[in-house]
Amino acid sequence: MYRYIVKRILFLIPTILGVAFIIYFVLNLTPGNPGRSILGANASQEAVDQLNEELGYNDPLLVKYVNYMKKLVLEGDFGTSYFTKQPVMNEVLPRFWVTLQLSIIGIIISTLVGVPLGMLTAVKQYSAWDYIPSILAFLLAAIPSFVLGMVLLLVFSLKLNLLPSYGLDTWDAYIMPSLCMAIPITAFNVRFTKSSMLESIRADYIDTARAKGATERTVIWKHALKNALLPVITNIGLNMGGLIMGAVVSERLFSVPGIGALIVDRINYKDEPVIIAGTIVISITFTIIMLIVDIIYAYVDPRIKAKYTRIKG
Amino acid sequence: MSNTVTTAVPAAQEPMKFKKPSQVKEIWRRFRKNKGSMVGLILLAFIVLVLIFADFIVPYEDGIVQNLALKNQAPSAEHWFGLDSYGRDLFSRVIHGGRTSLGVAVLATISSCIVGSALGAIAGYFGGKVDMIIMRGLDIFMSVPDILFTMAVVVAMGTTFANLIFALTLAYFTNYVRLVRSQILSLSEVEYVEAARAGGSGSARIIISHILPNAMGVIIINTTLNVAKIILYESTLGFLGLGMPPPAPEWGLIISEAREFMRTAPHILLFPALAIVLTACSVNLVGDGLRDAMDPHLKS
Amino acid sequence: MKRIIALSLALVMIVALAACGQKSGGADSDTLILRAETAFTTLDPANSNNTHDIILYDQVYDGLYGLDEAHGGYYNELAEEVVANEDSTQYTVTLKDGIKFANGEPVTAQDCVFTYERAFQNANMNYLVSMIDNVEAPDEKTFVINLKYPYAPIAHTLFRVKIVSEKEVTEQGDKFGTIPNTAGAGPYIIDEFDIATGCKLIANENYYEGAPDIKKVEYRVYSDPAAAVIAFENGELDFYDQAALSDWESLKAAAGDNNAMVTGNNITWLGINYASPTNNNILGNDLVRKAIFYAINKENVNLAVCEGYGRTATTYMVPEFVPTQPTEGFETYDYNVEKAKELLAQAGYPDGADIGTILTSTSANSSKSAQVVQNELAQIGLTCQVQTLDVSAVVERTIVQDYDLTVYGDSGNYDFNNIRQQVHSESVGMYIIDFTLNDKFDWERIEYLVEAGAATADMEERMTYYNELWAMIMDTATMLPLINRPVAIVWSDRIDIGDPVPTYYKIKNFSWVDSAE
Repeated sequence: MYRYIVKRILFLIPTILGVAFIIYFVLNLTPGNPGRSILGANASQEAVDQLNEELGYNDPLLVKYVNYMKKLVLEGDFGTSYFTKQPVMNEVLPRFWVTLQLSIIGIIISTLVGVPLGMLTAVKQYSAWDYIPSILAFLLAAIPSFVLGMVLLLVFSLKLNLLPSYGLDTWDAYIMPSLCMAIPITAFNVRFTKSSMLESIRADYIDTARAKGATERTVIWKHALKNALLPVITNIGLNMGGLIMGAVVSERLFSVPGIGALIVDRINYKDEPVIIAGTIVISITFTIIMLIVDIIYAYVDPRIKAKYTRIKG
Repeated sequence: MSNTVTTAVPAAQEPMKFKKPSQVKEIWRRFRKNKGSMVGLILLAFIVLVLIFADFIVPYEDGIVQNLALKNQAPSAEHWFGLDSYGRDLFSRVIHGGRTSLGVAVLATISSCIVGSALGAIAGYFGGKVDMIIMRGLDIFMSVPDILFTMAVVVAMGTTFANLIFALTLAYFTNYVRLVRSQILSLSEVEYVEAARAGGSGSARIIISHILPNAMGVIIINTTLNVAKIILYESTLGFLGLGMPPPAPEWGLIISEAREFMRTAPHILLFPALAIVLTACSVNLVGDGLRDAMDPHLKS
Repeated sequence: MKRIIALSLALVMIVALAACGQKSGGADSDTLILRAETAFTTLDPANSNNTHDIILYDQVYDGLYGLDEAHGGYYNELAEEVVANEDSTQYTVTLKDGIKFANGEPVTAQDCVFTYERAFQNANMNYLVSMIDNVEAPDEKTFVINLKYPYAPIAHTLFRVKIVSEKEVTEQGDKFGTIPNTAGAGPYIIDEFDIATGCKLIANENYYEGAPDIKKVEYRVYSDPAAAVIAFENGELDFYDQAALSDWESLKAAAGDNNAMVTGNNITWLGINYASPTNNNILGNDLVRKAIFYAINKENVNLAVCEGYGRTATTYMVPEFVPTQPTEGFETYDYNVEKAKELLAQAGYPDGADIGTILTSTSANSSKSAQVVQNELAQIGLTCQVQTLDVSAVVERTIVQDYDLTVYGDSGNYDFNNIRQQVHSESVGMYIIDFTLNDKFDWERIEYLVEAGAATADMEERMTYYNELWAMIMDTATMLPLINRPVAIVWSDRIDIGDPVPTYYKIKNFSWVDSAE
C-alpha cells in the first residue's frame, strides 16, 4: 500500500512535465501574442516585438519549456505573469483556494443530499419516494449549469433579495455558486447511487442473506449498502476533480475570483506562466484526490487493499 | 464539464453480449416494457424527426434575416417562440440550431467513442509497456482541464462544425479508453479469445472480431449517456462564446445571446433552454432504458 | 460506513473553519462601492492603457493636466501654468505651490523628469511620449519638455502621464505596481489591492485641494453585466457606469432621479481593406465599396448594440468632445438600398458577390455590429462571414493587412489630431486602412494635412486642413463611422456625483448626500 502511494506521488513529476508541455504546445497554436495584448493597439510593432523578446515569448517552444522547467525545479519559481508582472503563485494560489472551497462545499452538498436520496429511491422503488426524487434528478441533470446559475441569480438575488450576487465576502455569498456547482452533481449522484444500490440489492449474496432470514433492514444497511457505495465513492472523487476544472461557469456568473475563470481569462492574453502554473496546481490536486479516493476505497473494501500489492499503479 | 469517467456501469460487471439477433430482440422486448424509456424514445424520435425535416417546418432564412425594429418581440401566432434580440424568428433558430447542436453532439460522441475505444482496446489487449504508455499518457492528459483544450482548439482553428467535433472529441475520448480497457482485460482471459489466439488469428483480428463485439453493450450504454453530457457541454461552450460563428444558430449560442435580455425578454432564454433539457432528458431516458434492458440484473 | 460519516464530518468542519477564516465584512455604510468590470492589472500608471485602469489611476495619481469631460477639456492639475514656445517645440511647466505626494514628500520638477524618463522606457507610453526629445528640471518648480518636432496637441500627454514619487518608486523597485503605494499626488491612496477581486481606496489627507468628502472607496469586480445590474438594484453598488443598456429601463426605475445617459466618447467603425485579394480584389472596386456603405442602415446597428439609445455617426470623432471635428462638407453615405444596388450593378455584380470575411473582436459592441453589417449586406446580395477573435489577435491581423472588412472601435479622442493614428502611415495599430497601397489614393496629401494641422495652434487654420482631410478620407470609401454609443450611469441616493461624465469621473467630486449628519 505505501509503495503504491509513493509511486502515485512520484508520478506527479512526469504529470507536471507533461502538463506544462501540453500547455506550451496548445498555446503555441493559438493566434496573438502577449506583447500585443499588454501594449494594446497603439504600440509600435518594434515595441511589441521587444516586449515579447523580453518576456522570452519568442523563444522556440522547446527552449521555453526547458527554461521554465529549469527555473521551476532549481529555484521553485513558477515565473512571473506576463500580464500583471506579479509572481504567478500570488495570483494562482488565492484563486485556487477559492475554487477549492467552493468545490468542497459543492461535493459535500451533492454527497450528503445525492447519495441518501439515491439510496431512498432504490429502497423504495416504484413508490412516490422513488418517482419524485428520480424525476427531479432527471430534469436537473439535463439543465446546463449556466442556465441553472442564471435562474438562481434571478430568483434569490433579484426577486427575493436574499443572497448577495457578488464575491465571497460573507458566508451566504458561498451559497449560490456552490449550489450552482452542486446541483448537477447531486442529480447525478441520485441516479448513480440508485442504479448502484439496485444492482447490489439484487445481487446473489443478498438473496442468500435474505434466505438466511435477515430482516430487510439489515440486508439493505449491512450488505447492500457497503457494496453499492464503492462505485459511489470513486465517483465522488472524480466529481471533485470535475468540479475544480468546471467551476469556470459559476465563477463567471457569480463574480467569484476562482482559478477556472483566471485560466480562461488569461488564454486571450497568452499569459503562459499563469496558465501553466494554474493547470499544474489543478493537476496535482486532481492526482491527490484520486489517490485519496483509492485509499478510502481500500479502507472500505479490504479485498482491494490486497490487490494493490499486485497491480502496478 | 469534466472529462472524467462517470460511467453508470460498475466496472466489475460481467461482460454483456450483444451479438445474436435473438438477443437484440430480447433487449427490445425488455426495453419496451419500461414506460419511461419508451416515453424518452418517442420524444427523441420526435425531436430527431423535427430536426431532419426542419426545412419543411420553418425556413432557415427566418432564423437568419434580421428585423431589428421588432427586436425581442414576445411569442405570437406568427412567431411561436417570439423574436430574438436581432428580430430573428426564434422558432426557426431553435429548430435549425438543434441540427447543429445535436449533430455536433452525436458526431463528437461517435468520434470520441472510436478514438477512445481503439486506444483502450490496444492498451488492454497488448498490456505491458504499451498499456503503461497509453494509460500514463491518459492520466497526464486527463489532468489538464478539458475546457483549456477545447478553447485552444476553437481559438486556434476557428469555430467550424468540424473543429467543434474535434475539440469535443479531445474532451471526451478519455472516458472510453478506461472503459474499453477494463472490458478487454476481463475478456482477454475468456476462453473463446484464448481459442482464437491459439488458432493463430492476428491481434487486430481478435480485437475487432472477438473482443469489441462483446464489449459493445457497455460501450453503447455509455455512448448514449454521453450524448446528453456533450449537448450540455457544447451549450456551455456557446455560453463562453466559443460556439459556431454567427449568424448560424446553435442552442448554447442562442442562450448566451439571451442572457443579456433574460429579464426583459425571458422567452429568448426559455425556448432554447427547454430544447436542451428535453433533448438531454430523452437521451438519458433512452440510455437508462438500454442499460436496464441489456443488464437483466437490474430488472426484477 | 462509520468511517465515511466521520470523514464527511471532518470535511464539513474543515470547510466551516475555512469559511470562518475568511475576512468577513460586506459594504461598510461609509464606504462607496463601485463596479469594476475586470480586475485591475497593475497599479503602475505607466504599465497599462486600459481605460478601466486609467480611471483608477485618475483617482490616485494626478497628472500635470486633468481632464474634465463635463466642462470641455483639460485643466491644470499639478501644473500652475504651461507655456509653449513660438513653434510648439518646447513646453515649460511651472508646478503648483505646496503640492505633495500621499507619502508627504513634495512634488518636484525632478519627480516629473523621473516620471517622463520612466515613460520613455515603457512601450505602453510610447504613443504618448514619442514626440518628446528630452525633459529637464532647471529648478524645483520648473519642468521643461523639449520636442523632436512641432506638436501643438500635447495636452493629452500631460493628462495621461501621471506623476509619481521618484523616491517611493525607486524604493519599491520591481514591486511597484503590484502592491499598494503612496507614490501618487491624487485625492486617494490605494489601501488594499487584490489582483483578483478589486481594490480599496482611502482619502489622501495630504491632498493639495484638501481631502475629498468620501473617505473610503471600494472597487468590486462584477465581470458579468447581469450580475452588476442585479447588484445595483439590490443596493450593493453605489455607482454603476457603462451600465447595461438592455436593462436601462429597470435600472432607471431602481435609481429614481439618480440616472444619466450621456454622450460617449467613442465611434464604432467599419473598415474595408481595398487591397484585399479576396474574390479578385472585389473590394478594390470603388463602386462596390460605396455600395457597401450605402447598404448599411446605421440605425439597425444602433438598435442591436445600444437598444436605440445611441446615435448614428458620420464623423471621425464625437463633435461634443472635439471642437476641431469637421461637421459638414463631406460624403456621409446615408442609407439608400436602391443606390447601393445600382452601384453594385454598375460595378458588374447585379446578382451580388462574395466579399470575404468581417474580422472583429469578441467584444459585444463589435461582434453585434458585425452581425448587423453582415445582415445588411446580404440584403443587396453581398455575402460574407463574421470571424471574431480576441482584440489583440485582430490587431495583429489588421497591422499586416490580412483582412477583408473589419469592425473596430475608436474612443477617447479629444483632439482631431488623433486622426493621425488612423490615416498616417507612421502610426501603428489603429492604422487599419493602409492608404499607401496600389497608388490608389493621394496619401502624401493626407499625411501633409495631418502634419500641418498638428503644427499650428491657430483654430481656423487647423479647420481648413481638417475639412479637406476628412472630405478626402470619406471619398476613399474605405472607413465608415457607424454609431456613437451613449454611456448610461446610475448611482445610489446616498451620493451626489456632480456632473455626470462619460469616462473619466473623479470620485473627489462625489459627496455623501447626508454628510452633514
